[in-house]
Amino acid sequence: MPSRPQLTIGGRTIAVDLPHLAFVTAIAAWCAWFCQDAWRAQKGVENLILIVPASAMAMILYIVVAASCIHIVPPQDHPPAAPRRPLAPGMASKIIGTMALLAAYVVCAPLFGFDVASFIYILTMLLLLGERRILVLVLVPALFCAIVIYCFNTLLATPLPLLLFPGDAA
Amino acid sequence: MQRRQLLTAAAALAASHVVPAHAASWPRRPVTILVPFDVGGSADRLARGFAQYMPKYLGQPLTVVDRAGAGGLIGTTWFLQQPADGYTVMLTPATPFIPVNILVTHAHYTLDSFTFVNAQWVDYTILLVPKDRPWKTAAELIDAIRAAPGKISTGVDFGSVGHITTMALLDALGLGPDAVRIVTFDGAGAMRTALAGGQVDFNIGQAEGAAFISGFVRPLAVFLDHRVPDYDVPPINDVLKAYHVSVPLINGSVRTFVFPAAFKAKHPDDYATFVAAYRATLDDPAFQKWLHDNQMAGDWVGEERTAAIIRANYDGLEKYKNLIKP
Amino acid sequence: MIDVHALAAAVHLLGGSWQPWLVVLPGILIGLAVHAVPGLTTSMALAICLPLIPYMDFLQALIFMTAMYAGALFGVAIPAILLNVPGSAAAVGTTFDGFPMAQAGRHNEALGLALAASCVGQVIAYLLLLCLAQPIAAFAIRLGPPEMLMVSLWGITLIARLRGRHMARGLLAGVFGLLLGTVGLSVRGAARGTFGFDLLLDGIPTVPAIVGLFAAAELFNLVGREYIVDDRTRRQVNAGRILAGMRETFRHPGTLLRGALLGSGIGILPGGHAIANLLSYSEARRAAKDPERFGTGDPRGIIAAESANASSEGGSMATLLALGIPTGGATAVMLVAFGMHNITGGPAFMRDHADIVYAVILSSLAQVVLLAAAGFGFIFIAGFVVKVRLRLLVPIVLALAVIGSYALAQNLAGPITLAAFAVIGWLMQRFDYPVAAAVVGLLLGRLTEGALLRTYQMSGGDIGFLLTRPIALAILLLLIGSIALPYLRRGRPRLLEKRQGRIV
Repeated sequence: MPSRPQLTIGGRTIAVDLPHLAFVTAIAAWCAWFCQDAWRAQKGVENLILIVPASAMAMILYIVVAASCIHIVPPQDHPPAAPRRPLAPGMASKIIGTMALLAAYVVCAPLFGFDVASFIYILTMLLLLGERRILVLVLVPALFCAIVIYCFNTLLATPLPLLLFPGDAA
Repeated sequence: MQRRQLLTAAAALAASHVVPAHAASWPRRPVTILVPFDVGGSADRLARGFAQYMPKYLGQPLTVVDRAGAGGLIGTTWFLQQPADGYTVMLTPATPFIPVNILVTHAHYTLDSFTFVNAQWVDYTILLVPKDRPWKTAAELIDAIRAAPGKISTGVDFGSVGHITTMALLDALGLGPDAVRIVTFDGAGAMRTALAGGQVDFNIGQAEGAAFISGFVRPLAVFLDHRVPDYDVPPINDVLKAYHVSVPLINGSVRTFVFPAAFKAKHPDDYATFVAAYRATLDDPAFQKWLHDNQMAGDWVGEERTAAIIRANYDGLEKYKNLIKP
Repeated sequence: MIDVHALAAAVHLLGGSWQPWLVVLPGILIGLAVHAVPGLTTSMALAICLPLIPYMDFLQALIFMTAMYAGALFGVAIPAILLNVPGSAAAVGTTFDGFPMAQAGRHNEALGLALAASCVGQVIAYLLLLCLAQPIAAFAIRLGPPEMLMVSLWGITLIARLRGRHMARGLLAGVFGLLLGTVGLSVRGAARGTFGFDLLLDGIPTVPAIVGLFAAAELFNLVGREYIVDDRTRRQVNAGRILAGMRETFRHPGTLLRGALLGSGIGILPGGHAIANLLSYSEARRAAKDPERFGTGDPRGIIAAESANASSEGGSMATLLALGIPTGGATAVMLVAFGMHNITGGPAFMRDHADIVYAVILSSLAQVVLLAAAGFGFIFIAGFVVKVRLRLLVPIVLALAVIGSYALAQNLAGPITLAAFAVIGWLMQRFDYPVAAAVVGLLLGRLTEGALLRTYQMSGGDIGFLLTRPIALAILLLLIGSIALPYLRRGRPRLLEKRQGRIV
């Protein structure tokens, strides 16, 4: 059970759901920044007719949600139950790994070519997710690259940047 | 000899992707026509015409790629990031969009970044009202605006020549921007549909682009210094004589092939090859018929005059651009 | 209403020879296949086909385009159901109940439901078009920004219905989506929230954002699991069950018909076809006696979304065929294809080319029958996705989505959006925010802003202006009625319960 940070102020214990508070604060901060950015860009009705009311609404909702992240724990009570289903052991690292690999793939593929990047991305993902059969590890990425790149470059006439087989389409 | 050439030409015709025997140094592979607007727009339709008729003269197929966004800015930016080897050529209404990108949207390029091949299809501006509105002449509309400022609405495609001309007209008549209700649309297509449906009271926009709504609207004036056969209405400045004012006449969309300036500088021979193939396509009666059927123009005015037209439009837009700033 | 002479000419045109119909199967399959790949869109499929058009004769081109259209309308539902990846904005509503059904091992039924609902929706829309093309078009052209505004507001009320367990979080997700939807150039050329990137000037690319929010977030959750369907015995592709799903569709005739009619109506509006499925879903849920079952794998959710999605394109076809005015990207391309055969649009289109208009409608109707067969075969194959181990499926789907979103625009806006929104979507799920509400907001943001602004500009700030727009007023009254009715009908006890937040 992830324990929540607790503060004791004047005999009362206050529990704060910090991760959620951080997330909702980030969303609200983006909304506030966006409203300010739009305001800076142009102060006309044409520009702000939806953004200002929607941002104001977001701020009100933020206050409501943020307040719900903070609980006053009565002294005799146990800490409240975890609000989210906990991640299975080992899942956190897998999910963070999946996200990090996706980010790396997105940045690298257009720079270095989709052929090599896709091969490496799928291979690494397979390894991360627990695939150990050599044949699968080689065949799946290779087939994927061959089929997809052929389809996009030839059938769809939307050439992808490639490293190994730049050919005419690059 | 002549017979052999004929055979070669026929073979090229039959299978347009086959490179002619006397393959030139350029192009060695298919050429991409980039259109920085959506599929179905005037530039896209024109590009697809070239993709159909030009391979015969270029010796390579042409593929059309549309990259719409931000009034042509996104596609044009992408275009300038491609190698200046001639394998990517842009077909676009160069004005007003390139000047507006530069002057209003602060694009990272200038007019000097491009070589404009030929202003083959230049559109002009026209004043239209929906058919169910009472005004029969431009003067009646102007008087109605003056009689009831702030009641009559106009549709504009932001940053277009029509928009700037609308503001210049109000300005010339001594009317403020609040004299009409200005309704801003995302693009000329949406604006024309709204005009056809009578959502707005009048519009100043491109004449040829509006051909498809001609059954729903009545023209009142053309923004040219002469009458045209297509529309039996007076030039705007003749109408304005009664008010002792006049408005600047800015050309409408100037559709032309565009290369990055570096291509012509570095590969003048390849550029000449393209221009020769392009001119041969323009001279092809089949292509001219296709243009005519699609209500497009295929005039040859040459690179110098094209540059002059675009420069003049740029200067005009620069002069009047503060009319459309808030 | 039907011009019998032109209809006969159309039948003659289509029935003259069987050879042109050879392109039907390729057309439907291209439509299905392109849309079944996450990240590829209709305009892309049409752009692929355009270069082929000059090599076909006009009739062949016409049959080919309508076949592709028919396939495309249903294709987007396949990844929506199997992977929670809507193939386009028009299939967002299909994911709400489609994916829960798939996870519960009822993927066969879900795909069958979607196919049958899509076919019926198309049939109803094209029949309406056949009988009423002229009046629909005359009506359509009177619709403008005020009407669009009312429809957008209607869509926004869906956010409140999708709010999930926590009212405030649901609404915040929706408002966040609305704001995200307005990123980019304002209609007056001001750049908002772009961080100075040119690529964001046109706004956040919708399809990659949706794929990121829904799919990648969902796929991250699947990372630790073995298959989409947990229950091993249910992990199969079964023609009988697909057929059972198709039959089930007809047990909900009310939902089916309401979806098809709503879709036809909303599809007439410019940009309307992207949200028709959402409004239909919302209304089906409102009308149900047990709305809490929606979102947990209720067949009615799929029927409502798919029938409206399929019929909305019929609505947008009405303005194209009767007026020559395209209201959406796909219909615009259709006009280009006509142009290649020297048939130009315009109000005279219906008058001068009534036989072609009827031919388009009739061949579309014929395609539906073929779609039912080809679609059945296609989903039978696509269904095998549930047999693939997730550790193979997850990387392949993510890589395909990235490549698809890159290929569409040939720039990094799509892939980066996809990755960023995948993270946001996963966090939203973690903290119990309804991702669907954010997606609805994202889809409606720009539409609502434009309609609101133009209505304000047209009215000159005078609220009395709305009185001159009877259709807008009628939609507004319908909307108020649709919100108020459940409360009036079910009385106070229900209201109290709702206040206590027990019913979502």
